[in-house]
This record gives sequence, structure tokens and C-alpha cells, in this order.
Amino acid sequence: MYLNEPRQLDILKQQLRFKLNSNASAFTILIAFQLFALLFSFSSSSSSHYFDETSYISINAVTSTPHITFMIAWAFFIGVRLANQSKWNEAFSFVSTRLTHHLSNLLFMLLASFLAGFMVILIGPALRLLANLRYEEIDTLTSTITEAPLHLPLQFITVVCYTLLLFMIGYMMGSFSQTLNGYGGLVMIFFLSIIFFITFILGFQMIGASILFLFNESYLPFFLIKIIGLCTILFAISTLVTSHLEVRKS
Amino acid sequence: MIFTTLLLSTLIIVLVIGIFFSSKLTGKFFNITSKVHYTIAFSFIALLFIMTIIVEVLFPSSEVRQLPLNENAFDDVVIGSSAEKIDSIDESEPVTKRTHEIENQLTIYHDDADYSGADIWIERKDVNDGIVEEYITKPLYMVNNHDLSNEVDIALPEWQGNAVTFSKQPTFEFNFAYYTGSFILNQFTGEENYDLFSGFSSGSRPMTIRLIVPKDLKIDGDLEYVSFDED
Repeated sequence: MYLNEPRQLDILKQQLRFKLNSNASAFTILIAFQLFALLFSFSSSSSSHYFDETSYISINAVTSTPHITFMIAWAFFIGVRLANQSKWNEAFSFVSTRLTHHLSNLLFMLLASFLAGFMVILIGPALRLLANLRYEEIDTLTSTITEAPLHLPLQFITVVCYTLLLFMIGYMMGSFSQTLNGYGGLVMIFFLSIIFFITFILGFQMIGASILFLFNESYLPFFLIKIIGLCTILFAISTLVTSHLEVRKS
Repeated sequence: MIFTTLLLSTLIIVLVIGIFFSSKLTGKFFNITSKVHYTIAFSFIALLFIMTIIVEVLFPSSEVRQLPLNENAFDDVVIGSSAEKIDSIDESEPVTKRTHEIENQLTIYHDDADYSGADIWIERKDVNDGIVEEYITKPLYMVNNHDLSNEVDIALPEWQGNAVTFSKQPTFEFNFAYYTGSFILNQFTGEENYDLFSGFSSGSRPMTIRLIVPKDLKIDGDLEYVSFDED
């Protein structure tokens, strides 16, 4: 019996505010990742062909793919970090329930996906500017925003979806490792080894097929349904595996 | 070079600052508040936004140099390198055909003693008509089925009386730089993805000079890079 019983929504708001503050460094890490990706976007796809002593062809490709790859890796890393032991203990320093803890994490991941997605779609044009400064003459093989403004929201949705999915995968892995009380790292290695074994030794193209399941989808509503479905399953698993966990461990 | 140096130095500085900010160690010396992190994040987004506006104002349209595509060019590279097929090239390849009047002797010189820059073939006619027929095919340069032959300048052999000088070929340097958005972003835009992951394939065939000379013409001079098509 309490004089003032807090409502779930108030707890959720407070928890979200707390998560946004305690995980703010994630965005600085994302910027560091993006700046590091610059090295790859300018050098990974370049080639030189020396035909003979007097002829030489040089091809330099600038692409934003490394930035998206690094952002996806970042989302996975932050997802794991959100679900780890110290963050769990931090969260229960306040009035909180397991439900509000997970929901606030979900909201944080959603907001982070939006911010990261916005950042990454703007990196493309910024790269184009840098490439124009770097090379005397450069061809642009993709439509610009002026030419195809409607592509921008579509690209934004795509990036946000993939980021959220990787957040969820990381969050599920983090939740699994947390429940195993110190053996989480070993279990992660075991889990990844099994995936490696199934995919490369037994030859089941499991990972390839699961990527193509999303990547070959060309109709946006179906893609959104698949993403929402997958995220729901992953989030449900994460909440289930931590449902019997003590709210705070010493 | 300056660009790379600037880029690298900026990256190193920013990375060091980034690691410093995100490190747990900094908490012992400074209290980096979440406000600082969000200020950095939104400043970065603002910078990207400004760069986007600049690039859209300065370079509003996508530009693609139309390099001729030739799906069979790799076959042409192989066919062209075979002496027997030289005659068949006339119809499909850009060929310069010239004739030169000549007496009993032809002296050959090279501008560059170390490298000819061309395949030189000499074939004899059945008659002594005092005329040298000269067929020149342009060199062929291929990258990913793009035919760059039209971008190449060639130096034709210089004829003076009974002597021919095979000139040194001008340097051919072709730089192709392009920007393409990530294929991940184009899943729903319908944009064609430039296939970056197939690798770059390239092939080349040097310029071919074929001289069809009178039956009993004496040939001397620098014959190191000259092949004779004897029946």
C-alpha cells in the first residue's frame, strides 16, 4: 500500500529519459564509426590497370556502403550493450519493472535508429561533395536528391528498418548472455560457432537465405511486415529469457 | 595527396577525441554529460545537412560519361592478337588504311629503342608493284566491358621516301572516378545498382600495324619488333 502509486506510463517516461542520458555516448561512438568508414568509402573500391609502359587506367569508386555497414555493426554492438548486466543493474536503481525496462529500451532503440538513419542518408550527399573535391572529374551514378526527392524517404525507411533489426539481434544476444551469469561470452562464442558450422561446414545457406528473405523483397509493405514480425519475435525472446532474472544483482 | 593527408589528419584527431569522450576513463577526470554527446551528434548532423545543401546546389544532377559498351570486346582482344585474323578485323575495327610508293628497299626505324608500342607485321605480296599497303588498327582497352578505344590517341608511322619510323606512342592515361549510393539504400528506389562486388576486369590489345609489301622488297634497319608473315 503506497500513498502515491506510480503509473506505468510515468515510469516508462522516466526510464526512457534515463536511457537517453545514460546511452548518449552511443551517438559519439556512431560518429567515430562513420568517420572511420570514410577511409573505406574512398579506398576500398579503387583499382589501377597498367596495360603496358605507356597506358594506364585508374578507376576510383566512392560509395556509402561502408558507412551503412559500420552503422549496422554499431547497432548490433549498442544492442548488446543495452542488454548487458551493468545496464540492467543501472535501470533498476530507479522505480522500474521488467516491462518498463524493456519497453524503454525498445523506445531508445527506435529513436536511435531514426537518428542514425537520418545521419546515414545525409552521409551519401556529403560523400559526393568530398568526392567532387577529391577528383577533378567525377561521375555520379545515383540520382541526386534534386533529381529524385522521393527516394530520400524510401532510403530512410530502409536504413531505419535494417538498423532496428540489428539492434534487436544484438539485444537478444545481450539478453541471452546476461541470463547465463558470467558464461555469456562463452555461450555467444558457442552460438556463433554453431552458426558458422551449419553455414560453412554443412553448407546450409542459412545466413544467406535469411538475408535474401529481406533483401530480395521489393514491395515495401511486405518488407515492413517482415521487419516488424522479426523485431517482435526477437524482442519477445529477449523479454522471455530475462523474465526470471533478478531485478538487481549484487 | 593534400586531400588524403587532410582527411587522415582530421580523422585521427576526431577519432582520438571520440575515443576520449566515449572512454570510461574520462569519467575519472571529466564529467562528459549526455548534453555534450547530443551536441556532438546534432552538430555532426547539421554539418552533413549543410554539405548536402552545398552539393545539391553546386552539382544538382547526376552525370555519367557514356563509355561505349561492347560485350564482345574481350573476344576481340583475343581475336585481334592472332595474326591470321588480321584481315577479318578490317570490317569491324576502326582501321586506317594508307598506301606508299616505294623503290627496292625499305628501312625501318623506331623512335623508342626499348618498346615499340605496337604489333608490327609484314607480309609479302605475290607481285612487285612498288606499293606498300599499310593497315593500322587502334589499340583496344577494355574495363568491365567498357570499350575505351575511342579515348586513345595514336601516333601513326612516319614515312619518308624509302624509310618508315614507328613513332613512340603517346601515353594513355584514363582516370575514371565515380560516386554511387549504397546498394542497400536502393532496395525500394528502383535505381540500378552498379555492381561493385564483381571486381574489375580488364583487357587490352596493342595497336596493330600491318604492312603488305612488294614481293622482292629488301627490308633492313631495326627489325627487333617486326614479325614476318611468311607463307
